[in-house]
Amino acid sequence: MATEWHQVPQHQLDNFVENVKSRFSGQSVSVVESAEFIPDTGAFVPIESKSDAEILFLCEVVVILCRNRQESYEEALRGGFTQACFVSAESKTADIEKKLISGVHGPKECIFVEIQ
Amino acid sequence: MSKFNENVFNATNLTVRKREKLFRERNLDSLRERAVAKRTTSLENAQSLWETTAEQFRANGITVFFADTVSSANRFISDNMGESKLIVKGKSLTTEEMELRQVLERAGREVVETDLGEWIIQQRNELPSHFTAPAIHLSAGDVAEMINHKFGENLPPEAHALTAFARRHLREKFKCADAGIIGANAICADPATVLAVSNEGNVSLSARLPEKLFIVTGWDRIYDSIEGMEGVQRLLSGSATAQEYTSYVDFFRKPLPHQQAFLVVLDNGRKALMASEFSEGARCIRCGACLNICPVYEEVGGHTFGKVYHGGIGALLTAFTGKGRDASSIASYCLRCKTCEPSCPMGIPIADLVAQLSESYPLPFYLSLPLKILGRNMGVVSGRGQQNSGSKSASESASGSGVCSDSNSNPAPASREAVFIGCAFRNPLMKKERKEIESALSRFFPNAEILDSGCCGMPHFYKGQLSAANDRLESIRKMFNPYDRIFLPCSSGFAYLREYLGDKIQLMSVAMAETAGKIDSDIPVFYHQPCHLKTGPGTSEKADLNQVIPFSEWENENRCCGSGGTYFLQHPRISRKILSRKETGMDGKFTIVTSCPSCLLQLRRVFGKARVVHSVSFMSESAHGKERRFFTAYQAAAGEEQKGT
Ligand code: SF4
Ligand code: SF4
Repeated sequence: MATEWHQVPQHQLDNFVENVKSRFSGQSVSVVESAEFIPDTGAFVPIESKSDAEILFLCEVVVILCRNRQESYEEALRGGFTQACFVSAESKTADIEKKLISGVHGPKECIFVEIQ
Repeated sequence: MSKFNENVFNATNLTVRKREKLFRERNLDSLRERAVAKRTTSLENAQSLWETTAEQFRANGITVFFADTVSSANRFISDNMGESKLIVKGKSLTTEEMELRQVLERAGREVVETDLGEWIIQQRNELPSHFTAPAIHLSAGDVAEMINHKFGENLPPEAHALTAFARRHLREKFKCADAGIIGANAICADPATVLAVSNEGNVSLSARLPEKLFIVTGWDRIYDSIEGMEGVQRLLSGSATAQEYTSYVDFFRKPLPHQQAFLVVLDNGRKALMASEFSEGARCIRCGACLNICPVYEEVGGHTFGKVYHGGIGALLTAFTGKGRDASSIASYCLRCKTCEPSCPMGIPIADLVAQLSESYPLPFYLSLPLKILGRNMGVVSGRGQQNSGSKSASESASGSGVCSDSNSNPAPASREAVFIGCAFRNPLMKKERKEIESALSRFFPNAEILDSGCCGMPHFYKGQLSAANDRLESIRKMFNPYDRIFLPCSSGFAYLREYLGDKIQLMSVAMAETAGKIDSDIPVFYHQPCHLKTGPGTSEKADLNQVIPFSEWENENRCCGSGGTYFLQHPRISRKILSRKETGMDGKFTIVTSCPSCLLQLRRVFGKARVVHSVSFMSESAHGKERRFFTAYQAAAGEEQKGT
C-alpha cells in the first residue's frame, strides 16, 4: 500500500513511528505535522522554509501526523501561511502507458496518522 | 497525413472509464454548476481582481509582471534569471505557448523539464500531445529506446525501471538548480494565493528548492476568492486524471525565506478571447477531459489534432493565442460531434464554438458545393415566405398524393402539429426511409401537417456558414410559428432546432414510441446513439424507445461512428478508423436502430444496408403488423450479405 491511514492514540505515537522506521529500514523516513486533515482524504501541511519542503518531499516514506479534523481544506486556506501543500497520497505518475508508479520524485509511501 | 496511435486510444479509453466511475461514485457533477458560476463571475471581473491580487502579492514580497505578449513575458523572465544556469521546470501549457524553455536554452541555460511526461518529450524534441499527459502517444518501448540511446543505459521497456531512472536523474537536478519555473492552475484573489495541482511532487520541488521561483500563468487563471476553490480543484483533478484529489495541491502566498519569487501573468490573446463572442471558451481549465473522450483525438492524438493546445477547444485557444493557420487546421479535424461536451467540467459548448470559429476559415469546394445545393432548396421556402408553404396534411399525403413541397395555396392548418422531414431524406440513398416516414404519418400523426421544405441549416452552422444558417433558421422559425409541436425524424436537426426553438421541437421516434405498442424481435436490436443526442433533451431517446423496442446492450452504443455529416469526405481515413471501433463484439444477425440519417449511412458502410435501420422505419414497419416479416426479411438479408462477403 503506497498510501495508508491509521488511527493511533497519542501515547502510542512514538511506538508507531518507530515501527514504521523499522518496517522501512534502510529507507529515509520523514515525519511531519499537518495543520488539518480530512479523514481518508488528505492533510494540509504548511511549508515555511526550504527544509520543510525537503523533509516532506526528499524522502522515501513520509509519516503525516493529523490532529485537526475538518470537512474541507478551505478552512486551512483561510488561515495565514507562507506556502502549503495538501497531500493526499504518495508521489506518483501514470505517464508511461498509464501504469501507476509510486515514488516518481517524492516519497513512495505516504502514511497518515490520525492521532486520537 | 494523420497517423493512428493505439497508445493514445488505450490510454484515453482507460482514463474515460476511470473518470466516469469517479464522477458517478463521488457525484462530482454536482459541483459543476457552482464552479462554472464562480469561473464566469471571476472572468467577468478579471481586471479588478488582478489589480487587488497583484497588490497583495507585491505586499507579500512577490514581484508581479503583467505581459501583453509572449516576447515581453520571455524578456522579463530572461532578464530576471540573472546568473541562473540550471533551471528546473514544471509542466505548464502557458510556457509551451511561450516556447520559454527554448528561449532560455538559446541563451545558454540548461532547462530541465521535471514532469516525467514532459521530460520524456523534451528528450525526444517533441511537443506535448495532451494537456495533462504529454507523452500519451508513446509506449514504454519508445521511452526505453530514448533513455538507452541518450543516456547509455540498458533498461527494459518497463514503466517501473524507466521511472526509477528518471527519479535518480532528476533528483540531482532539483538539488543543484538555481531557478525553478512552474505553472499555476488557479490564482485566488482573496487572499492572494497561487494553486497548483500535481501528482509527482515535481512542482513542489521545482518551486521550493531553488533560490529563484518563476510562476507563469495566464490572465484567465484568476478566481475571486478561496471560497469554493476546493470544488473547482476536485472537478479539475477528477476531469484530468480521474482522481478527486491529486497527490499534491500546492499553495503559494509568499516566497520562502531563501527565495526571490516572480509571478508572470500572460495575456497574449486571452483578454480578446474573454471579450469576444467565444468568451465561454475562456472558462477552459485545461483538464483534457474533452480530449480523452473525443473520437478523433483518441485515434490521431495531439500532434495531428493540435499544436500546443489540442482538440476542438485547442482550435479556439490557438486562434487567440497562436497562429490562425494552425487554428484552421486544428478546427478542420473536429467532427462537431459534441461527444466532448458532457465531459467538460466548465460546460463549454465546444462544437458550437469551433463551428462559429470556422466561419473565417475557407471551406474546400467539395464541402461548400453540397451546402450551396442545400441552400438552393432553402430558397424555395424562404422565398415564398408563407406560413403554410410546403405543407400538406398527413392523411392527404398517406392517401398517395405524395408530399407537397411547392404549393402556397393550402388552407391554414387545422391542427397545431407538423412533421418536418428535412433535407437528409431528399438524399437518393434515403428513398426507402423517406417512404417509411410517409407511411408512418397516417397512423402516428394523422392530424399533422407535413413540412418538406429542405434543410434546417444545421450543416451550414457546423461548417461555419453562419449567415446561411441564420437565414435558414429565420425561415424555419416563421414556418414553424403556427404549430405547437413539430416532429423531426432527423436527430441532428432535432437537437439543433430544439436549442433555438425550444420544446415545441420533438423527436419523431419518441412521439411514435408513445403509441407504437411493444415490438417483439427474434434477433438482437441495438441502439446507436447519435452524438448530437449526447447532450440536451434527446439524451433520453433510448430510454423512451426502450418502452417499445427491446434493445440489447451493446458496449459501443454511445461510441461515435465518425460520420459527422461530411467528415468522411474531409478526413476519410479518420472517419473510417472511428467507424471501425463500432465493430467489436457484434455477430451476424442483428439490427442497429438510429435516428440520425448521417449515422445510418455511415454505419451501413460497415454493417451493410440491411442491418441498419432508421428508428422511424423500424416502428413504422412494426406498427403495420409487419414485424415478423420485417425481422425475417432483415435477417435473411443479413445472412445473404454475410455469405456475399
Ligand atoms: S466536437 Fe467531437 S470531434 Fe470536436 S472536439 Fe468535441 S468530441 Fe472531438
Ligand atoms: S474544454 Fe472543458 S474538458 Fe476540455 S480542457 Fe477545457 S475545461 Fe477541460
